[in-house]
Amino acid sequence: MLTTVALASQILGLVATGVALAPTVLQAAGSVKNLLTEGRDPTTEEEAAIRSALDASEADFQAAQPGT
Amino acid sequence: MRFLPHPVVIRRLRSFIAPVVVLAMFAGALASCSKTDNGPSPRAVVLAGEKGLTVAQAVARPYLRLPTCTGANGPLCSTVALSTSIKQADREAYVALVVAQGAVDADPDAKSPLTNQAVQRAQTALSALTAIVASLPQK
Repeated sequence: MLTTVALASQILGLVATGVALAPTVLQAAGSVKNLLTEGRDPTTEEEAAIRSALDASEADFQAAQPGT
Repeated sequence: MRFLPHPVVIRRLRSFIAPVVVLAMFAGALASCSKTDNGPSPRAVVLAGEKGLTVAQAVARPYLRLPTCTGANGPLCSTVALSTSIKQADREAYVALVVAQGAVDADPDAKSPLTNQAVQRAQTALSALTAIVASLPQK
């Protein structure tokens, strides 16, 4: 936990100049936060969507090549 | 091999450094939530981890796609060693999350210590990836 806080502080220092966050990243992070703070179990549809997106992203990530 | 002009590469690098803030904040929330009795269910925690890994991949992907450093194309390139580390950490986080997912499917209330261990391992693996992504070059 302490490491995470230290890491966040370090990164905040790096981006203090104000770089726009990618909307898709913000949206994804926001949905994660909602999932955790709402205190409810995710629906079957949410589970399927999240896992499908992760599986597709994982395949694309592992296949990523330099200069592409 | 394709070379990108410096301003473009710099923008690409900066664009994936910034979202790491969101990722790090998410990791902190995930860690704190999983330690409370009244927090989200283990299933929600694992799913949040899966979503978090997707975010981490989106942040790190541009680095993997930079031209490989040759010694002549300057600092705006990706090294084989770092790219390998990123992919390995990603793979470990992915596998750990799949294992945790299976554990909470079989034990939704996480009554078994093994389920909690699986969730904890997934969090640790995701944090390791986050740390590497946060260390990527900024310029």
